[in-house]
Amino acid sequence: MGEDEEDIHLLRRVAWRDEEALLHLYRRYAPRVHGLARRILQDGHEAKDVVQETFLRIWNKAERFDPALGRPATWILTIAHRLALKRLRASETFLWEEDGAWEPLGGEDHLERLWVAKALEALEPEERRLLELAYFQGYTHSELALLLGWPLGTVKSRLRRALAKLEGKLK
Amino acid sequence: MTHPDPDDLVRLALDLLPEGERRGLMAHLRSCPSCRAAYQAYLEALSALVPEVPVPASWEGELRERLRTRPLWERRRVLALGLSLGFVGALFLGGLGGLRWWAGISARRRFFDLAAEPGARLMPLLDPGGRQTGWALRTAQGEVLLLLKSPPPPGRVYQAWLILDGQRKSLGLSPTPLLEVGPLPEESLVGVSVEPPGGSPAPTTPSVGRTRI
Repeated sequence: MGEDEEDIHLLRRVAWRDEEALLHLYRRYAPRVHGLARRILQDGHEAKDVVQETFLRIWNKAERFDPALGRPATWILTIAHRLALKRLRASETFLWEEDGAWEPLGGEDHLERLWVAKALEALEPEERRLLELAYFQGYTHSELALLLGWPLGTVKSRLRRALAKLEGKLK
Repeated sequence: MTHPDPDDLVRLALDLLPEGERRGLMAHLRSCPSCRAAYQAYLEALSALVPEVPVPASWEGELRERLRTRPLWERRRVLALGLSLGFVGALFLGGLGGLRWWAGISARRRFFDLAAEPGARLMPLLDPGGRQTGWALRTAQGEVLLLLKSPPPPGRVYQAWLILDGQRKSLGLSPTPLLEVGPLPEESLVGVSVEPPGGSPAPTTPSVGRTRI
């Protein structure tokens, strides 16, 4: 059984209140959920809450997972991304921070940055910045246009191009 | 088929769309393999940006504790209790017959308004004897609603169930003939039973309607 099939089977078991199935998914995906939440929120406590909320959401909504719309891994990250952005928007740190909210190098955060840098190395610096602002800080297209001083059409086309490059690298 | 703006698929993957637009696009994706493939590719690309950061071992125990403190059907009991209290209060104000009539009319109107929208799909709800007892509706946005022809007996509620692998999972309660069960994967098998106001962890009466939608 492939990992996706196994995850789908686990989600089905979670829908029937199988705690061990949820904990299995937790052990597999909590580090990525944690990484995403930390990257967005830059706060360990908030990130922990997002990790727990994400898996509680899965516990309560597992039957809503639709394999026709994506893999379990991306579904789980989508839940975590949404929860983390909601917290970010509710917090005072969601301001016009042109330079993002990078933490100083060192420790886990340094490792996170290296990881992200590796995935992003296929991109031009401006595309990288654009993706970081959009995905990790939740800026809309029009906010990005305002922030970066680019026409809206340029923001859209560069975002699409950046995603296509990443996609190409994955293949 | 009209396809959405490709930038909206990017916005969907980045979770930057308002809820209404998001649901509309998700509905389109369910019926459009090419847009679905583009959306999935964006999600995969974005997920490649996500770093892994180990979690402390104690978090798993905390999660396990939280799972055990509030089982889902107990929370639905709280919702059902709220609904029941609201229902009883309204009974006090409006009288049993008037309220039941009003609730039934409102539920039907909402259901058939949604059924008339483009892309909506209706299926009959059948009891074990094959008689039609209501309708199941899948909206273009993938939401599933169930409407029974008659309201539940006095002092009882309808409870919707997802039937999967021979087991049943509660999808919610309603003191009216309308059950809004939310988004479900295509071809989900759903059923309805009559239960006491707090709902039940498993059906206690035979199904009053069932269908695959």
